[in-house]
Amino acid sequence: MSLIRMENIYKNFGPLQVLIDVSLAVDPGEVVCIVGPSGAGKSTLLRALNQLEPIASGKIFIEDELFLHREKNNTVFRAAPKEYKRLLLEMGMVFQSFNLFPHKTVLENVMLAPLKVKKIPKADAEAIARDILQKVGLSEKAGAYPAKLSGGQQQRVAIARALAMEPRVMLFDEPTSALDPELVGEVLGVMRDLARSGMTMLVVTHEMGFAREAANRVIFMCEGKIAEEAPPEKLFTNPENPRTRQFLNSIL
Amino acid sequence: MAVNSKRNARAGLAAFLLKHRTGCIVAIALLLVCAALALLKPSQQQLRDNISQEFIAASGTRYYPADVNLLVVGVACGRDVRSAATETYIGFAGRVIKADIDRGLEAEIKALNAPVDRAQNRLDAQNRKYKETGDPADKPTGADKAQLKQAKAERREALRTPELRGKASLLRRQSAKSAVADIVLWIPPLVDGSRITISLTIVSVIAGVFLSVFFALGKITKFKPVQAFCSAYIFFFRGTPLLMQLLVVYFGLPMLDKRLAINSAFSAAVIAFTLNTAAYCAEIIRAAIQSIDKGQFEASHALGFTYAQTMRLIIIPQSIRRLIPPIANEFIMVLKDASLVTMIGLADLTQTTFKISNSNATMTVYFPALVLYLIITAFFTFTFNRLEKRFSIHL
Repeated sequence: MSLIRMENIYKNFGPLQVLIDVSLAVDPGEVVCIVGPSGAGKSTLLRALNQLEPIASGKIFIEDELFLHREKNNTVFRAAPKEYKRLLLEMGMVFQSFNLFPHKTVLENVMLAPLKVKKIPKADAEAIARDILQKVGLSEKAGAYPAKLSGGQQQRVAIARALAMEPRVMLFDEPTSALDPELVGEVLGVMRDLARSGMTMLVVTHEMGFAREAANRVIFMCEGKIAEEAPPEKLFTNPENPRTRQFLNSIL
Repeated sequence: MAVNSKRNARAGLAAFLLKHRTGCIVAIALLLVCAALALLKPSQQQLRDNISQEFIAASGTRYYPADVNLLVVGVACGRDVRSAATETYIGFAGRVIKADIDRGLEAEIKALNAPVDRAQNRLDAQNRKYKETGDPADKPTGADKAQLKQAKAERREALRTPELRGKASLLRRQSAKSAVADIVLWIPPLVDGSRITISLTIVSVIAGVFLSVFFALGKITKFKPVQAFCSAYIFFFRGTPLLMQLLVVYFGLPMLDKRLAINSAFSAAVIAFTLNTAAYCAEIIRAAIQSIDKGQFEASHALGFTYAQTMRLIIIPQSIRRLIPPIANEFIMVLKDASLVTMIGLADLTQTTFKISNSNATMTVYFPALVLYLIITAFFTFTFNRLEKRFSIHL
């Protein structure tokens, strides 16, 4: 059983084909890293999965349940609203630009969605939020506003915020790309802990070290297609696809 | 040590003053106005005690000493200033009390002027007769002229009674500081007028902003008919003069259908201003909402918020801070545009100023009126700045 399965996804921005027949499955507990040159469609794939971009055609299954099926820009099937929302909330998303709510404190950022979307009591939401903030090492910043935090701290709050909804899979869209180099480590540390705790993760990243160390599987995307898919030790040391080799040579 | 703490205290005070300089300026301005009022009050009090009782008794009015003073000015100077005094009175107290005061004033002036008028009439009649007949016998005699002269002298004398002289000397003293005194006398009616200006502005802006949220959301929505309606509304109200809208609401609607008549000029003004403000604020709010980073919508979507929740919890609270400066701007524009209600006969600050200026044949009144506008604007600017700070705590 796979937690997430995407089948034959196509996506275009006008005449530009961004995703061409992409299929991908993620099993529970698996950590999958997506790497590749910019413009390869990595982020779009995540965003398509999380319904931030409508796909042109393809099927998306979540927990082996058909979530969305589109053909030629028309929706063929879409889960019933309640189910749709439940399945959507099985995915937690972390953005490149954090996207914290600047007018809310760290604690409010983390507890807002459980409170308003899941409608759990305020005391419980706060307890959960404080617990998760402790896990990402930011308990003492609970009362601060995001603008007062460093980029790394903000991204950790963003991770905590996504975790507070208790998703089964976490999607990371280049979580460290907007950070100063010395702040990357703390975010990767949190992600590593998360991976170790058994969370299913789908990570778009340029951090090859992280991919090599934490991923079960690495996907190399290029020009809207999955060019190669292999365990990290194989992909990084002995890639089959010449395009992969070229990419790795250029960055390492 | 002591010196040090003193210096610290002084530095602290300086920092405090610098930090709250707008507030300090407003406070000082208000204090000065109050001081001026307090300084000039004794003379007014005296005037009232000395001279106004009989006038109040005679005319049955219960109005400011200011009004009474002006009546006495007319009488005590011994000139026939009936019309000027009456008009002055209108300028001060408005149309309502005009009839009341005329009776008292006219009786007083008539009594003083009667002998002079009689002598003058006799002399005029004689002159006319002489012109007609050309008979030297009909030529006005020195006696007639002397009679007129005497009547005038008597009137002058009557004005020199200790009672009236007291009034006159007080009035002279008053006129010595007349510029300031006039302004002080004008303040109550001006403040009265500004009450209309302020309440009209506050009510219309609050109602307008409330209404504009719907137009703004309507313009953002992808549902075409709503979008078209909102765009048309905004286009119309931003594209036509506010004065015209005001006239249409007040004078035009009743002509369209009697049931549409709005009897109170104030209500009509509130409606016109609200509709107009809503159009302007809708654009402000739309721009503020659309200036919020797209990532906020994406994060809200990923966390499962509905569109309404996203707007209510995430987007609108963030736009409020960005809204405050342009809304403050709009508020001040409305405050000044409120002077247009002069056209539908509402006694706002501008109309009051205009009336006082006309009836006293003076431009001086425009200065306190302008200062009053500035004080009001300064107050609201200060308030909006505070509001903006309050909504910026997260930055």
